[in-house]
Amino acid sequence: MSVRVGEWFYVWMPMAGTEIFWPGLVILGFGVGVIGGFFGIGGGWMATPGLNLLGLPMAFAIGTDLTHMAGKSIISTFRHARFGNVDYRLGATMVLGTVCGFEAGAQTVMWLERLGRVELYVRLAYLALLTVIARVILADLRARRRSPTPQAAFGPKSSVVLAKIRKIELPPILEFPRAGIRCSLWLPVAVGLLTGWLCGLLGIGGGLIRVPALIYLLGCPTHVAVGTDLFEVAISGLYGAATYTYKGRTELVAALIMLVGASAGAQIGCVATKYVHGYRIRALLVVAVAGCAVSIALKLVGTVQPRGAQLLQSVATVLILALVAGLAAEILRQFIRGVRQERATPVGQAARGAR
Amino acid sequence: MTAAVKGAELLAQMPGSLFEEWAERWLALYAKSPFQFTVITLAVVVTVGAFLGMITDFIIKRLGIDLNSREVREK
Repeated sequence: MSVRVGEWFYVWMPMAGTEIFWPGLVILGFGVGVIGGFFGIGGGWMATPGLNLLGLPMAFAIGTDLTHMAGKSIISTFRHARFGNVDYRLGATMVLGTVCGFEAGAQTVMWLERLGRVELYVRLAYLALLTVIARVILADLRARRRSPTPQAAFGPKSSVVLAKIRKIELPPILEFPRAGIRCSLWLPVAVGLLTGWLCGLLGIGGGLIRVPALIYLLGCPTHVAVGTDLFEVAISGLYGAATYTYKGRTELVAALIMLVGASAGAQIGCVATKYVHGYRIRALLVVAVAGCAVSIALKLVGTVQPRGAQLLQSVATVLILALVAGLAAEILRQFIRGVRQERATPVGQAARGAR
Repeated sequence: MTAAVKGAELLAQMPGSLFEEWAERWLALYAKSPFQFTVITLAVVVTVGAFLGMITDFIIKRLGIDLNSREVREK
């Protein structure tokens, strides 16, 4: 805020009582939108520190991010629904667990806050979770490199455990035609409850947790997992946005400015999945997860080691923003390449000729 | 609520403008009814999100991308 590019580039945030560099909001919205649309991740773990860096106090950053996430997830859900990627039956089954879990997570945060340990425990929970997810996806990628068949994706022990979980025959048993799976009602509800609890605890949309759970635990195809997860992100995003807005911690102007960038970014991210192999989507996801884990670890070290804490916090924030920019650029590259290829085909030429 | 009051105090120091008038009404709405404020905020975000989605949808169609088919690269 010390170097003013021009008064015109700053917009007043009435609730927070501060001014924000609005082109920064558009860029952040676009980058997180591209990544969110591509992976089915709301991007709260990247957008919140970004908003904070631009000048919004942390509580407003969380509330504004959740609000923009709700609007953006609706755009992405429509897009994935059009591709047939959303299993609404599966999504509706999970919603009950997701909402109950979200509230339980939020209450856990309140309890930790009363103990004065919320910062430490939430960051440790983030770190543990991201490490587990990165390890699971890496194990899958390594196995696929050795043998490209989906059956060989996991090691024998993990495959046996996952197969046993999927085969739990606790009634009622439901069919989910879009996802192509048949399982007990309680399995998606349990996934919703667990991921919802983690979302409420960590203040995120939950795609980072839910997409791997849908793929590896329920056996969803990658693109259906991404689409169905976005439906859940929209629901939990709306719930989170309502809570923070009611507490006066949402900046509507900032959320709307971010939405302008996110609306274009989310569409590009969603359409890009059409041109990219599921294996490559997972490879890029592991980069996002690992980068995020490193960033949180740096913040954690800064918390327990006051000397050099400021530097570590800055490095962590720059790392998150560089991750957003780098991943968005790579997805954009895949999108442009795919569009060029499609336009060269007879189907693409017919679509252009028809308009 | 405290943040809104702080915002209103700072707003009073700003030069007069249409945006100032809008912001003042916005803060007053929150002070009057947080529930109504929440409902309006969510309605605006969802409507704007859907509207922007339709616009980009139109632009993507104009670019010649086939939105009705998805060739999944899972081979």
